[in-house]
Amino acid sequence: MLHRIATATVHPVIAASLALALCLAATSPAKALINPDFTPADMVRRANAVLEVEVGQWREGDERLTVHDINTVRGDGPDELVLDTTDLDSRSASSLEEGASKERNKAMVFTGDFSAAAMGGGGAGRQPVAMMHLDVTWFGLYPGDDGRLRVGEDPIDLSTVWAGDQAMLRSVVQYIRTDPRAEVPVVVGAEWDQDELFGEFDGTVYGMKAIEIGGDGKPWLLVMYEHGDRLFVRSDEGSWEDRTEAVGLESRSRHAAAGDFNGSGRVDIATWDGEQLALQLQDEEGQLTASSVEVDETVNDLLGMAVWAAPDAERSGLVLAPAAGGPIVLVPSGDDDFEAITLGSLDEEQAAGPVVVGDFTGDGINDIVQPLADGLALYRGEADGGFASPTHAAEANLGEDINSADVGDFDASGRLDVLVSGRRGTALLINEGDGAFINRMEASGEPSYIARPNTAGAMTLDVNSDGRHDFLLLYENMGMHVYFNRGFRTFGYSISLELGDAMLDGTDAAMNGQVAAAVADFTGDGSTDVALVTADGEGWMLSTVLTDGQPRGVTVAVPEQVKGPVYVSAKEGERSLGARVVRPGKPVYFGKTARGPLNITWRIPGHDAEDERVIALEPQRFIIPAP
Amino acid sequence: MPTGPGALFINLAMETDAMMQWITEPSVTPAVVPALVGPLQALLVMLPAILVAVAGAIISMLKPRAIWAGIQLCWRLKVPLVAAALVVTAGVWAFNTIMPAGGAVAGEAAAGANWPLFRGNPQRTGAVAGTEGPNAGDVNWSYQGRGNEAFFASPAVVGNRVYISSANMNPLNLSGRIYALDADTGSVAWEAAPPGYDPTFSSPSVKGDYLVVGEGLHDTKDARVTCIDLSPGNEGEILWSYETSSHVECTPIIHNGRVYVTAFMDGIYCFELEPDANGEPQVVWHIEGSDEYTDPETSLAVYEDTVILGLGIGGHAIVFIDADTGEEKYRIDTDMPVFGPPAIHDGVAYIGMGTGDYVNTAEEARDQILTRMRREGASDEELAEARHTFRPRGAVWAIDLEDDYEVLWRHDLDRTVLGSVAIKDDELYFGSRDGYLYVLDMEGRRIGRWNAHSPVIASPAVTERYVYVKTVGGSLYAIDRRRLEPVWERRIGSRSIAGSISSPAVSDGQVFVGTENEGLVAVGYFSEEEIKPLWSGRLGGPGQGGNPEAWPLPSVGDFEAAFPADWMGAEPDRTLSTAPPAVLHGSVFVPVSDEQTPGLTVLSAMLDGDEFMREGHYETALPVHQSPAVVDGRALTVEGKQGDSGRKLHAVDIESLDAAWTRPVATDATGTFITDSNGIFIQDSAGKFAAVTPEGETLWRKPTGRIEHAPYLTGSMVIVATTDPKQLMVLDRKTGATLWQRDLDEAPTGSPVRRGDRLWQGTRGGMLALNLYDGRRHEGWPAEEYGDSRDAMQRSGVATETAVTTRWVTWINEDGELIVLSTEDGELIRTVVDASTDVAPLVSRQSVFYYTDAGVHRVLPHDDETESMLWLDTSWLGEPTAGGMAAGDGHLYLPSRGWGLVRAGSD
Repeated sequence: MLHRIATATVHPVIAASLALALCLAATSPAKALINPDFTPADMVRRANAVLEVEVGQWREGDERLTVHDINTVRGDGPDELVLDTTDLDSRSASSLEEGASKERNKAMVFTGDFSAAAMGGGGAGRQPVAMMHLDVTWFGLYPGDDGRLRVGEDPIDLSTVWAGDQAMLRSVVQYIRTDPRAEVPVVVGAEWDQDELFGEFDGTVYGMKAIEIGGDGKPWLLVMYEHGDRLFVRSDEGSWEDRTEAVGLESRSRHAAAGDFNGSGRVDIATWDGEQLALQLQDEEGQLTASSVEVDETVNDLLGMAVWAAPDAERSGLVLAPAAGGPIVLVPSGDDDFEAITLGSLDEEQAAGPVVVGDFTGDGINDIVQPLADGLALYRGEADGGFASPTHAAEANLGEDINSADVGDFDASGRLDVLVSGRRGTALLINEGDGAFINRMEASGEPSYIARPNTAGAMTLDVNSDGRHDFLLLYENMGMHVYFNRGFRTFGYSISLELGDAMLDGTDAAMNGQVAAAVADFTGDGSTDVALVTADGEGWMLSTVLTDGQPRGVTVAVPEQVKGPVYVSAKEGERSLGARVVRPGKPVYFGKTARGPLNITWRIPGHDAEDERVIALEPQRFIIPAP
Repeated sequence: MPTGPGALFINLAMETDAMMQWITEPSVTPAVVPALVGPLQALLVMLPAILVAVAGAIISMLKPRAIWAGIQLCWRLKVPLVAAALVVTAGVWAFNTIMPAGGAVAGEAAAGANWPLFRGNPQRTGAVAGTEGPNAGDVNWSYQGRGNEAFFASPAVVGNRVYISSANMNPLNLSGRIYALDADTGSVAWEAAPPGYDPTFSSPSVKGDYLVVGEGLHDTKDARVTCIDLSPGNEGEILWSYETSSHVECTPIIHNGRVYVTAFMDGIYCFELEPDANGEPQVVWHIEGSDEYTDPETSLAVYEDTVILGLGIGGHAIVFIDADTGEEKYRIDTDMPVFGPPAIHDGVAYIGMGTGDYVNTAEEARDQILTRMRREGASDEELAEARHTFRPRGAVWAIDLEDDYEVLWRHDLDRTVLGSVAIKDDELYFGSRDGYLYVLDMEGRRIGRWNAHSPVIASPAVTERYVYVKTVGGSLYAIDRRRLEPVWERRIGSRSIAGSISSPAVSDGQVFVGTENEGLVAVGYFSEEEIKPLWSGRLGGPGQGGNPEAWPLPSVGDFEAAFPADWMGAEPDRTLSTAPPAVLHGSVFVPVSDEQTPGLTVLSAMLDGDEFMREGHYETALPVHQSPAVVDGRALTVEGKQGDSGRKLHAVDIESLDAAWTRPVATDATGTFITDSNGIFIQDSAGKFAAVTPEGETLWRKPTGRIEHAPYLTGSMVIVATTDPKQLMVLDRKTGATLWQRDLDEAPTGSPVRRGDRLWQGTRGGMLALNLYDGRRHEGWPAEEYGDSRDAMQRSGVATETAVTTRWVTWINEDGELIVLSTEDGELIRTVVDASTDVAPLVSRQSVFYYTDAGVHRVLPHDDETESMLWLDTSWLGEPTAGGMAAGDGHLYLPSRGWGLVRAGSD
């Protein structure tokens, strides 16, 4: 449209150039605004004092911001703090009002000179003697009359140092103070290193899954393809083999899930072709034989499905996500049947997205969450294997056409969070505990202003093996975005993983768009690789190399006796690496680069939590012991 | 006016007194070199009167007849006599001013880094980057100039050229010149001087094709700032010269195409480096001399757009001036004169200051000031205030140049700091009039100091390994930076103030320094041989704390590798070593007590991926339970333990891993040994102690009693602690004769360790601090006021070896307390609980590492704000098996059960 407008008034070449420039600007992400030279660790170490305070409610026009409590975390803090707000500009006032909207609001104050954090040399004029962080905003505190501090704008732009929310700032300060290894990375620390073409697809690819179906710990790649699903595996020599025919796979899927659906101890694949649900059951020879599943309930327009199992079940079940009516749980019945139980929808009027199964409430029982147009529905699992009526777990404007939902733990709290993405954009639904989630995308750092809507998919991964959960966003008409986790649910855009900079055929091909992806350690080097299908139908596997160190993470898998998702978490020393959900055929990865122990804790539904220390001197695989 | 024969002398004396009064109480404020050559000038003025007086005295003693005859003879020979006098005079003049020093022709000038300010760079290291200084040798050459010139200035070294200004103090020919000498030969490449150039203290600064230098000494009234061309073909030509109305003792700084320099009473100047189209100097700005800028003598510094200078006597300030405009930006009052040139690093300026100057001690300067004040009628209060202000004191200040010139810290001293602070590897080095070389960390805390026993008023030079210090006593020292002990010393010049104000400059293994009477000298050479790395025994030797080379270790430790690679905890009960390894020459020498592969295994300190590379294995018949020593290309190891038969001491060539020699160790001997380059000392038979040559020959043997812990070696002594009888003894190293011995109340629990005249011995009853020379309790250590230190020493027995550095004495007692005391005065620095009593502490420059059940911890004893932290989690590794850790190449080595030798490092 811009082009047409332009041509009406200017030379066509000029107009085209302008249009091209604007298009590029629109599609290219803004360059990162993370201060490479000053991190929260520098903030804490440079501060004369660090205070945790509670401030009262504030409205524009108020002359003072009341400080209720002062807790000196570091250094010598004052006993009293009087904050004068008569000098606020309108923008700061608006932010202050928003941040101090409750009776009591947590804030942090750092006293000292942080002008060194100013990128580009810093501002001229008066400099604050302290900085205050409230909600998601930084304020400068300036010397005022009678020992007061005047609240004013932040001339240094400390959002380049910390762009997260207040709660996480407290966590990161605590982390920095107590962990001598504390770091807040400013770059992803990885770059694309290798690409391998595994296939070409002349038709619609609906999705991809990495599934350990071979029984040897190697991830296979299932491509759900319009003209027949394909199953690839990478040889040790680096070549990709299409094993579709060899294993007898004859499905055409739009959605799939792995599980042990016949209790054989081997991984099978459940597929949905748009009309019919089928199970691709694996025999002793590794051959897959299709078996239809008759579901009593009418299933229309499935948005996704996920494996599930009741405690100590002998077969995996499934949770289906129809477009309407709420999830349907397929409970194994008898030797090979399933009983369908509809859980009901929280709001029939609302569009829904794919389901995710995991222990979101921390009670040791798997729950189901399903994103809706206006939030998240939670179906609490019950001890008898059933599910409670849905509750509204989060309010978030997720919109219609939600195409992805994946589980992660973005603040290493041990509580499972949910990454949701679709036409409207991406949401980071952070699990606050007790079944409540909050969308923290706005306070997530660079994704909040770099991530675009209209994603083709989203998934969590640890792209740099640092133990933090990162995520990537697929786009059908531009390059993929990879966001690295700086810790405590703030993220940076991975500049070094921009497809255009890698000079690989695969990254070049992917620059124009991606339609599907799956993540796993395909190369076996201990790091996470990305397999994707480009908008042009090329299937590429891309792997990374760390700029510093070697990946030495631990891949955790379930034993064949476990048929459903299992909650697992890990700690490296005192540092939590957060929680994951491990499933049959779908292990999880806890990244680390230092050689040494990792403490892994898991809880199989229906059993107590257990833990074990794994010594990871090189990339390691750990199979949870059977209950 | 007195008359008579003696009248002339009396009058002369009166005149002298008046002159001295003028010198010591001039109408202007004294400068940093106030009256260094004043008496000589006074003499010059009085010379005619003296000559007349002498002639008259002589005449009065001669008979009139003889005198008359002599006069008649002179008159008859008047023409030849006058001609002879003229010839002699001309010859002297020609010799002094025309004839070059002679010698070899200077080589071609070679390129080199600039030397654009005093001491060569903003950190004021006084050394050409990337080169080392001498640790051996003598004077390579000296250049006397014309007629035995003095060189008060400090050399600038660029490539193979040494640039210096001179001071010819001959009263008949007071002058100066600017020289460029060949650094290798001392021959003159060129020399230059504006007409009538005065003896000069200002040092040259060099940038590109330009050399700039000041002129004069204190009394010079019309000194010039001179710029000399260094471009090929034009070397030595004067480009421009600007006359001030005072002296320019300051060394100019060349920065961004400009020259900044102070001219005492004529203020501060900024020139364009290049002359104008007519070849004239271009003054960019000039701050007139005034009360606002009293005694500006420091060599300047420039940081970004700010000029930094100090004001001396009467000024007492540090001033920050806009480099472009000359406008004063800021000023810090210092309450004492500032003569030290500012050193700058990372946006912080470090400046020395204090009362007194180059010539006068603080007391002398104070007395002069008080005398003048009394004469001028100062009140008692004013005199008292002056007495307080000018009391002896000094300091180094750190000023944040990026944060409104905030004074970050002040390190106070008893005496002034006249030279610059030199900054290297986050350490600050400077000398003081109190006779010490000081080393501070970047927070102003003292890391250590070395007593030169003579005032240090010149600036030190610092290289990778050494600090070069010149004292008023006329000695030049190379001080090992890690140990703060001299490794080389030479007498340079006379013992005098004038001879000790030139600061040494280092380049390519030589030190260049000016003297008063011996010219500009080039001294020494660098010898790797002289370094003689040494691992003299367990934990690197007594007191070395497992880290004799003071390797820094990373701030956090990660497991890196273990040897053997196939253990990795798979055999949890297996032990590789029961003694710590030696780490030297890029190799790790592992004593193997494992019965399957006894001997000495040599590993490379470089890993192959995640694994150790094995360089070789020297097999012994019996397991090795003692740490090896490594010296002069050989590893020494004793196999077996007491009670084993067939034991030997092996000397193994570390290249070939062949035995150079072996000698038996008796079954019932402990086999405890220690070595250095000059010999091995070992208990190789029961109760007897032997001195052995490096070739394995016995020098002497004497009965001592049972020795379980390695003795301490000095150049002349062997200090031995025996457990049976419980004794401490000092033996003459050459003969074994006992110099002294004393009984111990409790058995020793580690080796004796020593620093200076202090000797520490850990025992079951606690730590003893003794006098090295007589074994009696050391009276001054810990200092009287440190009762808590004495308590820490006595409350529990010493469980581990003791480590001693320039900063700390540290050990772990039987209660599991890590005790850290100040080496210097015994102040209790730190106590940490829950330390393992089975593993000796390891020390690095700023940290002490100790072991607990959770792993290796690190504590920064001087940092009160930092708790000890878990440096390496070893809870998943086997327990330590060797009683100690070793460090080398930035890594820590810890023998662990089931894992063998574990290496940790990272960062």
